[in-house]
Amino acid sequence: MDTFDNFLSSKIQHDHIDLDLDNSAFNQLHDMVNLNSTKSNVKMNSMFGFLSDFLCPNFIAVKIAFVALLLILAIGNKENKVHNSLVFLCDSTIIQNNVFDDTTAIFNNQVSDSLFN
Amino acid sequence: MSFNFFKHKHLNDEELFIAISNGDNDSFNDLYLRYKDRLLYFFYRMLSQDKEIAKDFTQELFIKIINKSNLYNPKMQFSTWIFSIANNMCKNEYRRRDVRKNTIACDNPDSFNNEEVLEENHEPVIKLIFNYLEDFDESQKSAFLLKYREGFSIDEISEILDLPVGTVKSRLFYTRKKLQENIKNNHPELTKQFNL
Repeated sequence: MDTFDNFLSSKIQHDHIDLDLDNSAFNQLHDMVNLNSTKSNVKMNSMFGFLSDFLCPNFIAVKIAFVALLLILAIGNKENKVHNSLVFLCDSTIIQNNVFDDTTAIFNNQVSDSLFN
Repeated sequence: MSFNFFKHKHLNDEELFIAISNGDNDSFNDLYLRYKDRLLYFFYRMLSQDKEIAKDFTQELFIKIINKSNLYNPKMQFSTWIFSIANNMCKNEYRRRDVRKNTIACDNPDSFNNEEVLEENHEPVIKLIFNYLEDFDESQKSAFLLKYREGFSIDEISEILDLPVGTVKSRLFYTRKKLQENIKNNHPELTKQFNL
């Protein structure tokens, strides 16, 4: 079996077929590698483009002012939210009291009506 | 062509492929030249020895690895990875042909008999081997080519074919034995000539 094994290895390894891919196939593959790199660049730019632009030292004063404005707005918005929720709580208590008063009054009226009619 | 081949001789396949994933065209040229002929031969022998099909499949395989470069695990040997993709493509093609064969068998029972395309081999022995090999199933053929043409080890073949090592060994043994019997029985002159 070893002889046959060696025979197969030597014959098959040195076998040659006259076959090749043409240039257009190669060029297409080449373009695809380019396209993929462009795609990955676009992806990277969309992910980190804003961040890298923002971190570069140009217009630093404008950027600091922008961040400060954002912080002020965020803090203001947070305080507003607390205030609004307090107002809402107060309002809902008043409404509840009013409803309670109304229903008590209606009940009283009905009781007195049934007693005297 | 305007590009330089073998610019990255010092890089191994795995490093080249990582460079390709980052859009390096020169690395692609090198890797393409390292594998193009090997893949063409593999597809040619696996798929009815049809040159056009072999070309299409090789082209498609390169497209696949460029598009799916993110699926490559750099810890894996590149050669086993690319041949496992090639083998899966052949498997799918065999499955597709089986379906087609069953559906048109009544009209044209010899539609997949490819003996006529076997004439181009230079050596009669090679022609004979691959003629007999046409009767073996796809996994036997691929194990045979990966061992005797590509020189992969049994472990690597088992990784490529996704089969246990024992199964690969037994398939190779069976294929070799059957081939030897065929040659001995039908071509005693070759047995004498090559001392088989």
